Amino acid sequence: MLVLTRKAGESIVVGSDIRITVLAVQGRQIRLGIEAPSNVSVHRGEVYERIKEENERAVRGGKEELQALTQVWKGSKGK
Amino acid sequence: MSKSDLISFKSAKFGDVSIDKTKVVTFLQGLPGFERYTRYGLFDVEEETPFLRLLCLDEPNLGFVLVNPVLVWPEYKPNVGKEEFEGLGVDRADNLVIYCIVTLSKIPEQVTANLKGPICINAETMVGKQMILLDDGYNTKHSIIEAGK
Repeated sequence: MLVLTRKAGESIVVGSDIRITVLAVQGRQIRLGIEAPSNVSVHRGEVYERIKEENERAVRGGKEELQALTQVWKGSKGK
Repeated sequence: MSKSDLISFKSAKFGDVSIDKTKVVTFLQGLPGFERYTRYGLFDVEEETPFLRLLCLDEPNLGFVLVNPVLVWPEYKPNVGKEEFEGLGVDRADNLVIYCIVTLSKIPEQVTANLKGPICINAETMVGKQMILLDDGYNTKHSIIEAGK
C-alpha cells in the first residue's frame, strides 16, 4: 500500500482523471472530496462491503424457497 | 417473434433457458461481488407476484431473485444521485426501472429484500447498475412478508 501524508487542502491524483482532496481534518474525522468520471463508482468502504455480502448471500436461494415465498405472498394478498 | 431474437443459455437451477434479447440487462460494472458477469436475463416468476428472476447468461450457477419494491413498499423512494442516473443515460431518476435483490430463506417470513442497493435499469437501453444509496433510511434486510401484510 502506498502511504502519503497530506494536509487539508492538498490532494492526491489517481491515474489521469481521479482526484481526492482532503477538505478538512477535525479531530478523528477527515472530510474528503472525490472527483472521478461518472463510470467510476465511489462508495464508503463498509457500505460497499455490506452490499457485496448481501449479494453473495442472495445467490444461494433455491427454487423451493421461492415457491414457498410466492405462496405465502399470494395467501396474504388473497384475503 | 423470430428465432434470432432469442438468446439461449444454461442455468443450473432451470436447465436450458431462452430469453428475448429485449429482456437482457447489461451491467457494465457487474454487481458487487460478481464484477466479472455483466449479462443477465430478466424473467417474471408468476403473475400476481412482485417477484422476478435475474439469471446470468454466462455463469449457470449465478442468479438472483428480484422484487418490484413498489408493490411491497409503495412509499419506497430511493434517492439516486444525478451522476448515477445520468450515467445510465436518463435525465430523471424517475425514468429508471427499479428492483431490489431478495435474499431467500427456508422460512418465508425471514425472506428479505435489499433496499439499500437497488438494481436500477434504463428500460430503453437495458443497461443497469446496482446503486448504493447514501440514504440511511434503508438497509440491506427488509422483511417482505412483514411489509406485505
